[in-house]
Amino acid sequence: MIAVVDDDKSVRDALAELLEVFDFKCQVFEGAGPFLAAHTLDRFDCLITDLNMKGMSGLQLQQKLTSADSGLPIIFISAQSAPEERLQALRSGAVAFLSKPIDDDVLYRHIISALNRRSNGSTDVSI
Amino acid sequence: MELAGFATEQGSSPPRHGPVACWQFNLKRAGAFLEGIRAGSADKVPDWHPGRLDTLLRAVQIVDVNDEAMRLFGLPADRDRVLDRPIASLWPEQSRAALGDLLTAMASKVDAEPETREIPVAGRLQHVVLTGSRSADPRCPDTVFVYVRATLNTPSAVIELEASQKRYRNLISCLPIPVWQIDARPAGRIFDRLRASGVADIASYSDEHPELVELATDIVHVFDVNDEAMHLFGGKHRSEFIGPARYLFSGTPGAARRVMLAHFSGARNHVEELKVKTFDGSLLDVLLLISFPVPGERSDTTILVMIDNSGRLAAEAKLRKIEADFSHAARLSMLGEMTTSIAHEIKQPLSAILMNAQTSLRYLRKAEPNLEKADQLTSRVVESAQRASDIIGRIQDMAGKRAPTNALLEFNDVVHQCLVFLRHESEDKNVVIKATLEPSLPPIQGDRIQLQQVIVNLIVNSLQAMKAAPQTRREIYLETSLDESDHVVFSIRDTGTGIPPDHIEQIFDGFFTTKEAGLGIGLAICQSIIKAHGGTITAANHPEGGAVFRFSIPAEHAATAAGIKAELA
Repeated sequence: MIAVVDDDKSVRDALAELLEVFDFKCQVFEGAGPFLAAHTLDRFDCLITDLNMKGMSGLQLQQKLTSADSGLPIIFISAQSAPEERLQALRSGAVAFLSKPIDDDVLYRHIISALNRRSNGSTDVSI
Repeated sequence: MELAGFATEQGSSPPRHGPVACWQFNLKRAGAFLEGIRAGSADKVPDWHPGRLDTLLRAVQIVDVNDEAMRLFGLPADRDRVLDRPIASLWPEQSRAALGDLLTAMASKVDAEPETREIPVAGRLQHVVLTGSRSADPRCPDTVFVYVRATLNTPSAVIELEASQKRYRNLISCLPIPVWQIDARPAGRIFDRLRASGVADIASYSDEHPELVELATDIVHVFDVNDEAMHLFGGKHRSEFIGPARYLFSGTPGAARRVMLAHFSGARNHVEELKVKTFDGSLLDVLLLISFPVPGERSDTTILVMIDNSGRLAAEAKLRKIEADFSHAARLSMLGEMTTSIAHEIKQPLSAILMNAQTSLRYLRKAEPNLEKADQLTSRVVESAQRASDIIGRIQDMAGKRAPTNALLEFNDVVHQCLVFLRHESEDKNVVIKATLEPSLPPIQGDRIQLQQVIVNLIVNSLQAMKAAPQTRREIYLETSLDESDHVVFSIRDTGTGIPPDHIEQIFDGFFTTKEAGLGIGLAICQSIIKAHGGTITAANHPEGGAVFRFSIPAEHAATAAGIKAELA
């Protein structure tokens, strides 16, 4: 299950449709708060989140998850180039930092690698 | 002085400043002449030959006169030009014979009884009585006093009226502005007849009878103009200007009708800006001022003044252009500061469009195309494209260079559009904007983009002021309301650091800025925009911290009354 967090409805819905045509299962959230409320360990295999959101930002969400769900692969999407935030996100372990508008093939490759990392990570944990 | 002697010599002598004119003559040189006349005429009234009369009066010497005599006879103010002179050149023509009689009769008298002569009319004086008496002092046998009383027809009023009319003529002809004098009585008589027949609403009456206006411009006559008026219209001869008033109103349709309505209403004055057609056919912008006579004044003179407005209008147009250029520069500067959030806002719908289109293609390219999904996704593409287009439209409005417009606006809509415009900018800076909009505001008259520029500018300033404020308290309070003088009020308060007290005075000055990248014309432009809308803007600090900016502009009906339309047109 892939979680999508974006406060822009049109982007959120478009992402959900794209994931559906890729045959991924997904659940959408309009902010970091509702996502954290629904989040449980191992419930989600991958998180796709917007960087700039009302309330909690994507980076703040990432910080929360480092303790709660450190193995959850995160893909950032942002409408801004934001080089500093990009660096911080990747240093903190993000799988990818994609700039809007997002190409479907690029997103697909990053989701696959994220899911692989999740499954590899899980293997690591189980060892 | 000499006249003080009157009082001591004669108990009935008039006071020096009294209302009776008094002359003191010395008859010494005329003595022989008078003796000859007396001998020749033998008690009957002499038949005064002008030559003889002149000879007598040239021999009578003026010793003194009082102030009333100087005033009544219009003597030179300089006494040296009067005293010791012969009376011949100073005594008025119409009463010379009477004076001659009086002096002759006195010369033949042996007693000291006064002698009188009456003249029914002498120039502007009526019932003139001359009283002559000899000096009681035997040492002065040649001294004679002549008192002059003009009992009727208040001569000073006539003199003053004539003087006042002369002053009036001089004033009008010397005025450095074009003046027409018009006799509007014929129109007044028509109005009286209309009123008598029950017409009260002249506006609708003249709509039904447009020929009334035509008639009025023909029967109302110009009877005089001054040089400035001739110069303004480019006329060479006064006669070109005398006649029906029609030519004054030919440059502006409806002007004659408005003037007529004002006249009918009994107004004192009528003022309007209009174009007049000068004699060479060109149109000139003037301010027209008409002063109608009111009861108690001479009804035959309506004064019409024109002030050439073309220079002022050209200067105003130039100023408006400069203001528009500056406000455009300020908008561009403001947009420049917002490029990040503008890009962000456009990328959202573009992002949705791209993903929806790509997803749609994947459904269509499947072995069994899913047309239902493709249809649904394409509809969303259309929606998002529309949204992107709206955003770009708003930015174009802000960035565009355009002449100010003047439309009827719902003020809350204007504010709301600003909030939409700034949604991302405020989210980006983690600022919560709390708006309290008074729901029942009257409409206002103005330029939507300019007002949005002011509001956006104030909000952007507040957003920037809160950069330093703690995350937990970054709030902006917006409020719209209606004040007691029917002004629509906008106020914005932030929780930032406030305005340093020594900056409050200069904050609306051009090129005053504390921002490194700022042009410093934002607030100056805001002030000039609000002023152009007939309003005011103020800055202050809130007692609980943060800055408060407040502007108010008159509601539509108030704005119309204040002539804001003309200002913005």
